[in-house]
Amino acid sequence: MEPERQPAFPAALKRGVALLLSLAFASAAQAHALRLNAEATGEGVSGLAHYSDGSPARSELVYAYDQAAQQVARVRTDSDGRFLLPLTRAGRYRIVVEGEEGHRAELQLSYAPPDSALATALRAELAPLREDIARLQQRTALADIVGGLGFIAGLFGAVAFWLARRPRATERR
Amino acid sequence: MHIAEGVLSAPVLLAGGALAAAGVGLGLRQVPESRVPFAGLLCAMFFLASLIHLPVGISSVHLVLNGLCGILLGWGAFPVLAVALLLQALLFGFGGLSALGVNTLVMATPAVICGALYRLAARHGAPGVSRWLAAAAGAGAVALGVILMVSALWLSGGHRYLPLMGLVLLAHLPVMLVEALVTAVIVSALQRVRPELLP
Repeated sequence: MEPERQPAFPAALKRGVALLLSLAFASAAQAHALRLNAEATGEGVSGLAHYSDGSPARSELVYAYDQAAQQVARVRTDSDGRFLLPLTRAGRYRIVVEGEEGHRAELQLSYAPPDSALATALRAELAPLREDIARLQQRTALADIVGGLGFIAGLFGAVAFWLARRPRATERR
Repeated sequence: MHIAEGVLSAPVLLAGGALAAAGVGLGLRQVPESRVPFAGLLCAMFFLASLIHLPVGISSVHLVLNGLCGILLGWGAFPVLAVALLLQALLFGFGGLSALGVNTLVMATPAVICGALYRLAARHGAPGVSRWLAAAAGAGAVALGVILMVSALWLSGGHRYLPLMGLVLLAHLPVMLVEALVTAVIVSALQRVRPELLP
């Protein structure tokens, strides 16, 4: 049955949609997940918060909690999603970043103030490396995508198989 | 639209889980046997859609496709979206596992509602309007999802309802537009080549 041919979307509408889409929306809050990297530096814990599409999480609140679950620092990320939580005491901390609309990420890390100029310099030198490692860990791996698709195919295939083997009511009669 | 771990309060998580489980149970009874492979295909589409980010200006827009699932599957959207959301949480870290019930509810309830409205309107409407109805269902399902998500956040406390709603709805405007366009294109393509798949 061939439905009667309709004109495609009117050209004016297409242009309107394209125009609206090309408007830059400053918020990337509709991405799927918030990611958080953090590492110890000379002055505290510095880090980067970004959304899963790669856009930085701008001016979101980042908290540091000590082991007694007391909030010890609270800062906002800058326009690149970077932040520096000033910490002075050694210990294990929980770093939490919260975005609007239900985004949240946290991690645990140990912090100790550097005991020498060398340690401070080393931390600064290693920071890009740590960021690279975090980025690699957070990248969506092709294996995960293929694995997920395989799982879906297998699950629905199994259901279809089970339904097909089950004797139908009409056949039983 | 994926709510992360540790954001919602326990009563909201439990209520969301219970309602989503009921929806999944109902959905499993509603999907006809012959549609199971098709449901699997839609599940794979929804699972993948979350990875597709279309760059828009300095930000990006992604697909949700819950409206399409609702149009094509009705209540079957519940089990299909629950499976896809489970895999997204496990493999991609989109949304927390404990929030799986709430996230399923947030995505699948609008799918069922918009799908039902689409069926109703398509049955009584002129034959040519179905692509517009599909566009409305695609955008409406995202908008309803946003409303449900903001409600879940508000019920968990710590948010003022209307300012957050305005902010999140505004952020989702481009998503709604893309969703309307994609849903309409897919529905009108199905209408041409496989009209029997449409309700």
